[in-house]
Order: sequence, then C-alpha cells, then structure tokens
Amino acid sequence: MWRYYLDVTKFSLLFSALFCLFFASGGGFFYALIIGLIVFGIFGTVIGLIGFNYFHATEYYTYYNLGFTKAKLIRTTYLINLVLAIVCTGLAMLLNLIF
Amino acid sequence: MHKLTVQHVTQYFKKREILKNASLELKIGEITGLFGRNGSGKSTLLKIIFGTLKAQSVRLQVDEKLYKPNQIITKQLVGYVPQFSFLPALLKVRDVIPLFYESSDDQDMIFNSPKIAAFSDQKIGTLSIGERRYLELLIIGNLDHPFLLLDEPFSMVEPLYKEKINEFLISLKAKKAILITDHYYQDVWKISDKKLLLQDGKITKIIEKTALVEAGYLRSV
Repeated sequence: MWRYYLDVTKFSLLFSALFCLFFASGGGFFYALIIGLIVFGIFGTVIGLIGFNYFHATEYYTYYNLGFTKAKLIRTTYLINLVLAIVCTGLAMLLNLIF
Repeated sequence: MHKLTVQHVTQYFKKREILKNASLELKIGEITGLFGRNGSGKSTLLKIIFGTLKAQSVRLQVDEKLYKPNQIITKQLVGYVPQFSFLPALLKVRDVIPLFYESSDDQDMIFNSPKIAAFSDQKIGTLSIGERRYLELLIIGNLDHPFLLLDEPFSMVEPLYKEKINEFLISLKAKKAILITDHYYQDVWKISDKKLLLQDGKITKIIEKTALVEAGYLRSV
C-alpha cells in the first residue's frame, strides 16, 4: 500500500512543486507555498493517479493480489494527501505568524 | 474451503456475446486447464472471476457461501497472475518480495526457492520472461488464496523454467485449486487433472485431445 502511495504522490509533488514555482516567480514565497499545498491537497492526487495510470497501470494487479481494490487505494491516498496538505498549510500559516 | 463454483457468467462486448451462461467449478487438489481459441473469452472469464471485470451476470460461490464479485479481492479468495508483467519494473527482486510478505520466514521461503538467488539483485524489468513468470508464480502462488488463476504462465518461457513452474504448481495442488489457460496447450494438458473447453461462450468438459481438433482449436493431435 505504501509503495502505491509513494508512486502516486511523487507525481502529485512534482505537479504541486511546479505550481508553487510558477507562483513564486511572481513574488511572495509564502503565498506560493500555500497555493502549492492547496493544489497538492485538492488536485495533486488526481494528477498523481493520471501519472500512475500512465506509467504503472499494470501494477494494480500487485495490489489486487494483496487484497486492495483500486477504490480503496485511491481513497486512502487521497485522504492521506488531503490531511497532509491541511496540516502543512496550518503549520506554514502558524510559522508565518510567529516569524 | 474446498470449492469455488462459478455459474451463469454472461458477458457482452458491444453486441457480441463472449460468454453465454458459462459455468465451472474449481476444487482444491485439482489443476483445471481451460482451452479455447483466441478471443473465445478465456482471459475475460478469469478477470470476471477475479472481480476486475464486471460481467452482465455472474454467480460466485465458495463452498456454500455466495460472494459478490467485488468481495473476491477484499476477502483474498483468489490469486491471479495475469498474462502481462505486473510487478514494479523498477524495483529489484529483493525489494519486491517484502511488498508481498512481511515476515522474514515467508520472505526467506521465496528467496530460498530454486534459482531465485541467481537474479535477486536484478530489477524486475531486466529479468527474462522465464525468470519473471517463475518469480510471479512463486510470489502469488505462495500467498494464502485458496484459488489461483493463471493466464498464460507458460507463454514464451524457456524449457528450464517451464520445468520449475510445473514442479511448483504440482506442489501447490494440495492446498489450492488452480485454473490455467495457455496456448501452449501441451504444457497445460500435461499438468491439468481436469480439462475444459471454452467455445461459443460455453464451457464443456473434455477428456480426449480430439475434442480440441473437433472444436477447431487444433488441426490434428
């Protein structure tokens, strides 16, 4: 399951980092970071799934044989990334307030 | 758990009826060979049993208990080795085995299987077809599923690995029911206890190889 999570999330992170860089180039690192985190939490997993389906689609059979359905894999990955994005956004805002 | 009964399998692709109320039964202790021409629906049937393809109708029963198709994966009733490579191609063999087996004893069982040590440092994507098929069978076959579906396990596999695959499948028979389909029909015929023919969407039991000729699957025996 974690292998699947990492394979999907590497595409999500890449996509979000590109978004972040695009906004950072317009000035304001903090806002670029927040936008990157929001993009990661909401759209990142979808992009990650597109990447996984393109490069690793047959590997779903590894997970099926271990008892994981595609729906469960996607749901779990989406939830973890959403929670991660919320926590990191909260932390970033807190650090911005302190410093 | 001794018997998987698959009944009333009907499947259409567009307007073509691939499977017409097909039925079969898999019993622990038996290897069942499924023969049929290209496009007859063998792989489709396997995917339907495994639950990764939705059929127009299917009834799945293990002993006396009925299961919905989407429960087959979650209950880990059936292991399935598809005809394509499904292990992560960029990982080394030694890193793939722990994905399937947590305990070191179970991992060692795979590592210590004949021939595995010779390529355990190689990436999955660099293995020969024989090495990869043998590894896939060892990994999935040793999981706890009572039923095992194998789609073309002998195709393109060199004789040395065919021999190993045969030995392994025979050793699994005591605790599993196995369904094999492959166009290398002689390998399947030799190893299977029960032979089935899928033709015109229906499954019939066959005894003699001449039935394969009559079905147009072979020119001669």
